[in-house]
Amino acid sequence: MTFKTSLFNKALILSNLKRYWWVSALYTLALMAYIPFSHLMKAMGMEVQNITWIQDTIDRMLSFSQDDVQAILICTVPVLMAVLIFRYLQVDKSAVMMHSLPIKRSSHYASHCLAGFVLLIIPALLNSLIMILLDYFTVLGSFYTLPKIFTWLGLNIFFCLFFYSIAVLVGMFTGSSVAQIVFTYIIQILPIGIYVLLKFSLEQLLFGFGEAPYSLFIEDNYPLFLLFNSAFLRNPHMVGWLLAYILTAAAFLILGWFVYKHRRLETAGDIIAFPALYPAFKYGMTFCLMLVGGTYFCGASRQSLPMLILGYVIASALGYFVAEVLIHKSFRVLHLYKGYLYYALVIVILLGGLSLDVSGFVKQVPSPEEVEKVYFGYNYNDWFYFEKEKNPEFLESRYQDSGYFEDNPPILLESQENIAGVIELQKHLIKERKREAGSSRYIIYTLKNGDYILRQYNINEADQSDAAFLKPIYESLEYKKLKFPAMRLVPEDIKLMSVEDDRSGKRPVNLTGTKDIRELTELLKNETIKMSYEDMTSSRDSYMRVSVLENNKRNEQNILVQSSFTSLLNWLKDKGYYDQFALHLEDIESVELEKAEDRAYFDNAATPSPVTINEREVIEELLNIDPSTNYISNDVIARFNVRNHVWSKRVSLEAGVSAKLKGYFAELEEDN
Amino acid sequence: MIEAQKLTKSFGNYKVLEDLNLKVKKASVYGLLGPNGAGKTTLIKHLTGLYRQDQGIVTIDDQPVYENSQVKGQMIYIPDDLYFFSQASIEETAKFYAKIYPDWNWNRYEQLKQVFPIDSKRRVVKLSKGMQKQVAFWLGISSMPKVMILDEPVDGLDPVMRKKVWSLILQDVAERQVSVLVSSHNLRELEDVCDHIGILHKGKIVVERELDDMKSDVHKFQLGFAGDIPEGFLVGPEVLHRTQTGSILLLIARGDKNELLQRMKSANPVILDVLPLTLEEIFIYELGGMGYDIQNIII
Repeated sequence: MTFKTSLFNKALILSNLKRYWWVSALYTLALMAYIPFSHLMKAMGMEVQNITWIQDTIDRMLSFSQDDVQAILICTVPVLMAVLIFRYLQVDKSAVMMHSLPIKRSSHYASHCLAGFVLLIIPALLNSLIMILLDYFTVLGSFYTLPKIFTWLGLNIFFCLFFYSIAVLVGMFTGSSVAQIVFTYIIQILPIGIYVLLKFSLEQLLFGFGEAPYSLFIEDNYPLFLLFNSAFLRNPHMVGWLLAYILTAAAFLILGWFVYKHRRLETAGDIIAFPALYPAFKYGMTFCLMLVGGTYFCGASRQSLPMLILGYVIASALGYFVAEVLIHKSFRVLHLYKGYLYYALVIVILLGGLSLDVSGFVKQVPSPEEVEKVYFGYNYNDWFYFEKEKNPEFLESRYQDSGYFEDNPPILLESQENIAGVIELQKHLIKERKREAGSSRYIIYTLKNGDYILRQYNINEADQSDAAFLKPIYESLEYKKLKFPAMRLVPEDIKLMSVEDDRSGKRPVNLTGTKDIRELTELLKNETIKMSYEDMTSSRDSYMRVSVLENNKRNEQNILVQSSFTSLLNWLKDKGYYDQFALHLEDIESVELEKAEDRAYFDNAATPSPVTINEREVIEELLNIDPSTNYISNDVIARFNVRNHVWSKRVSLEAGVSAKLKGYFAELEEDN
Repeated sequence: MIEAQKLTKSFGNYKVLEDLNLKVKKASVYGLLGPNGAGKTTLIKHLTGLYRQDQGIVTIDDQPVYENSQVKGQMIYIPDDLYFFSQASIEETAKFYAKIYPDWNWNRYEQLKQVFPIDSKRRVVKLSKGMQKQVAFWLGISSMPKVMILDEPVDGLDPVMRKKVWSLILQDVAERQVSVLVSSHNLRELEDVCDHIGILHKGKIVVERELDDMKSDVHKFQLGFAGDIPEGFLVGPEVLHRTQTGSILLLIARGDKNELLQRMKSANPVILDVLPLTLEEIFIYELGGMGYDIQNIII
């Protein structure tokens, strides 16, 4: 007997083809209906203006980008095929019959694998053939090209092989077809799930713990995400990358073969086919469910620590005993509680160690001499690809925005003063240990010895004690240069600047003259340099802005003009631009007051009549009052009626206002 | 021909087979007896190379069976619980077997159509359980095996078909020197066909003997006494079973028949008869001596 005939058994392959041809046939029909025939119908019924749209749709389908129907087919059909082909192994009767035949296990495995794979690629081949025929003989010839068709064929086979190999490998480890399906998908989602859940738990237990909000690596490399994100299209080294995945799939199949050889037939029907893996399954499930339970309880209870612990206890016990039920195929598992106690002991030691901060993680602060630079911003991935990986192009290609880092330079502070300032801020945050308000921000040090210290805190700019530490950093020139696009404007690159006011309803004023542009840029820079911490963090004055359109850029940049920019405003007034676009007091005809909650609860017909104000001085007061930011329900909405335009702002009832305005507020109360 | 030495197998913490030894001679029929759960099917799955033993050796013709397709090509296994491909007809299944078993014989297959009156175009899974068993024998015998391993083989076959099947098998044993191992609860069935018997109990072969030997070793006596039964009459380990109704005594005892008769005669019984002993009785009483008593069940 030659090697070839002994590894692939013809009779087995044929019998598989005979038994499962219908899966292949259905898949062929589904692809046919979804791809070539629907393309043909679109192309035949086309109108001239739709040609680019049809071309675009067809190109997207053939390159698997943003095509959910194909993605769903691809991630289900190969899994189904693997389950059917290896179904005989999961049922005692058939496993016994098949293995009593004079065929070696390697031959069984190779023949079944091959049969399944052949059944999977036939539909793709048939459809490619149909597409080639349509390309030559029908109107689709103007949309299809041979390279496109072969790319589709290649990608289809590639993904089929990939998913098939995973499902086959998983099937070797389990003795149940249902478990095979479930595990196939779980192992693909599990890493990202564990990542998110573990991160959540560590954030609760370790003050200052920070990581990426999600893992781009998993998103770009796990088959399921790959398929739905079409991440491979963004990859600059596509060929090498595809090759790596094909090798991975081959490695899975070889590993599956190895596992098959050592698998015991009596495990048909068991959830895990290798008793040696029971502990891994049992404690893995306990741990995962523990994380889920903790996240659920803690998240639902606004991050309270006792609820986190309660969630851990309930969910881990559930996970442990459910795993035991599945392994023993019996509900009488309570006597196995000892294993759970060991697990609990280990977890208590770990959690205790974490919350006592044995490693000194929470209190770790570098000294200023050690630090080379520090990232102080919101976006982990910006830091990661720009500073750590030194590969900003990757993120730019992923965001499909080649100028991303030019427009949004990561806030990496290098000056001695700012490094010291951030360190002082961090010490303050550790001392206060507040968690509630504010927005989450990363502090990531690059140390001179090449290490990194990564922390994430909630920082509240409105809080007085936080502000004292933030102020010197915010007001430094280094910070402003990175933070404000106005600091980076180059007059020679600017095509057009326009100034506008959202409240006025007037057209923006466009400035194109080089002199104007140079002067305005200069003024913007000077005003930004002068900005105080309070100006930078206030929520007022977000109505007036300068839009800048630069050469070689698609998007325009918007720069807010604050009321503190006095010399800039004076320049606009001197030039006579201000009157053309800005809102003036006399433009306002009247103001209507209305309770904010009325809007939420009543539809228009039932809304109580608003209080109308015509007094100039009250209108002026309302115009200049700070808007409410906390969105509590007893705010007042002030609606300003400007000539053929309306804009509104929220005002807090508690704000210190004049007696007259108070009177109007009272009137509003009485009405309701 | 078929041999197991020191065979041990556990499922989890449960030891199913322990240090088991078994030997089936060429061209003989070996009957494997044992109560439910004794490990008969587990033993058979080792002999057919389906399970891998924890310890010990399983050979056929001095060749290990596990993963040995050459040995398996000369052997057929008919399990209690049959499996056939769901869409295949008898003919298609036969074609599949023909490609897989090297000695498949189409002539035989055609000849056997007379024995098994089933339309070969029918789908196997649509047939009744008994008919599926017939198909299994039909295909098994057509593949010209040298070894046949049968687990509860004639379950579900009608008496006529049983006879036909056994005569086919015994014919093969006689003409082609086929070795057969058959497990069954149906002791009467084995009595007629086996020449060797092994009794499996708690994972061990406790008795392995030629059937004739076994029959000449255990005996059943009926005795009647004129008065009371003399005290101390035959109460030794050799007595496997004893029932007394009035002055009539029924004994099942092991040992040399003549010697036993001598000892009984010395007590001067009025009646002394040697009764025929069924295999079932041997089975029950041999095991009874090992704590596997048949309890009188009172309903």
